[in-house]
Amino acid sequence: MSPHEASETRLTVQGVLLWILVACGLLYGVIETAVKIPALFGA
Amino acid sequence: MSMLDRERTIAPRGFNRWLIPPAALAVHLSIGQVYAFSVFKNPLVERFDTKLTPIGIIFSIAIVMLGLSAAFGGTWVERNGPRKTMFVAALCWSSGFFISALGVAMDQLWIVYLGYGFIGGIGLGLGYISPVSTLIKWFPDRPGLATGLAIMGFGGGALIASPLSDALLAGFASTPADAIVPAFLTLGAIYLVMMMLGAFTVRVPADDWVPEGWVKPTESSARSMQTTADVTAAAAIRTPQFWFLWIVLFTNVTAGIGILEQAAPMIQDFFSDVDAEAAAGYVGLLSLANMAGRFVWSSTSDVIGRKPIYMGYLGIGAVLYFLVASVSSASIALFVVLTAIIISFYGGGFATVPAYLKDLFGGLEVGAIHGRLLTAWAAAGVAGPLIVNALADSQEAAGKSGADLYTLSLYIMVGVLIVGFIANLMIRPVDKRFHVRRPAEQREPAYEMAEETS
Repeated sequence: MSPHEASETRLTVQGVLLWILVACGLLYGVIETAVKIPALFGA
Repeated sequence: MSMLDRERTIAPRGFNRWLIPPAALAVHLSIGQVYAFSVFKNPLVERFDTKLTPIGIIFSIAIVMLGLSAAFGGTWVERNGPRKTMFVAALCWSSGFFISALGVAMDQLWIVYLGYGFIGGIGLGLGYISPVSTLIKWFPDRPGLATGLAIMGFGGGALIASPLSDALLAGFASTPADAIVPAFLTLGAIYLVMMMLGAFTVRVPADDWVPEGWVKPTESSARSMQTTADVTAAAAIRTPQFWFLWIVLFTNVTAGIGILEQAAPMIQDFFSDVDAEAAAGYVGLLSLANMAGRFVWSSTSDVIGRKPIYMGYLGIGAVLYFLVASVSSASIALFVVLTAIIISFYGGGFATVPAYLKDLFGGLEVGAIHGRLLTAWAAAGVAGPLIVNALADSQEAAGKSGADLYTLSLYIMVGVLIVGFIANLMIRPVDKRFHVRRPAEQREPAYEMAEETS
């Protein structure tokens, strides 16, 4: 693998990892918030 | 050449543009913590043995610095590119937490003002505008979707930070007041890593890059409100369009923030059987509506156009406000649905505005123009709560209670939104005299002169 290809692969892995991190973070925030909503309707 | 320089961040050919949104999201999710600052209010009051007002000043300084750094740092951001800006934003934002931890450990509130408020606030402003023009350049075919994704992160940041901060404050010590220092250090470290990952992932497209299969609109093919030219930030603030849009953003934010800031006490005043837990559920629902609106409405604007969608935010928003004031006290479900839609429009207004600016002024300095426009946010942040709180207080003094406390301020918000609606109606394409002259255009007169003299 050429240095150029290695750099591109590293960048792609970094970007995909970041997608996973932000998606997990958002999911955590949405779930933590959503569980409070039923109390609003008396559940 | 530094690795932070714009020239070092130009993407190689074949780079996948979908690797850019998570870089922007990493920054916006981090700085969005500012909306969860209230979690630290009571522990800070206890730790400094003071009242809420001196602690509230920390947040106020941060928001003022956000507005100022976005307004005055925009041109620097455009010149230096997204990586250097995100890098500086990451340093400022995380240092804000580290310095504040020091201030709390030393029982010196002014150090917290300096840390979270002043330095952290600069990180907020630079971080907020840093990915905007880059995303618009990567997604010229879907600018609303791209900026909606990033700015959705600012709404989502509080959703993550609020439960995370609660968990840290509960986990590090027996009382939240004693857990502030390790909680600040932990949050600072997490945000430093996340924002640095974003800074080192972000890339700018080459000058001649366009998405595959996309053809840059020509003057004849572009929508009537989309320019094919560019306007500099200095010229943009001399156009009436900038100031009409300033009014549009100001009115949309004023109306939304009036409900957001008062959400929990407002629903309890409207419906006496709503307890604190249910009110927290309502605040959570509004946060989700705020975040979803940023993505959904901004993406929709790519299809129906920026001016029509603001007609909806402001026009339908005014009708919804009228309904909240007049009939929503009859049903909790109706109240929740109406206010959730209003807040989704509030979020949508924030997320769509960079794409609206790009349509009107071109992509050349859209980040800098966006930074200047955000002064409307700072002004609305003062005006919205002031209208709702002051009127609720005066109504209470007049002997009113329950939903009646808010009726007058809600009707005033209807008027505010109508003003914004009219301002949006007044927006027309920018006059050609403000456009940046391309080298080819500049040569034309010379060619004509040469022909005349030959």
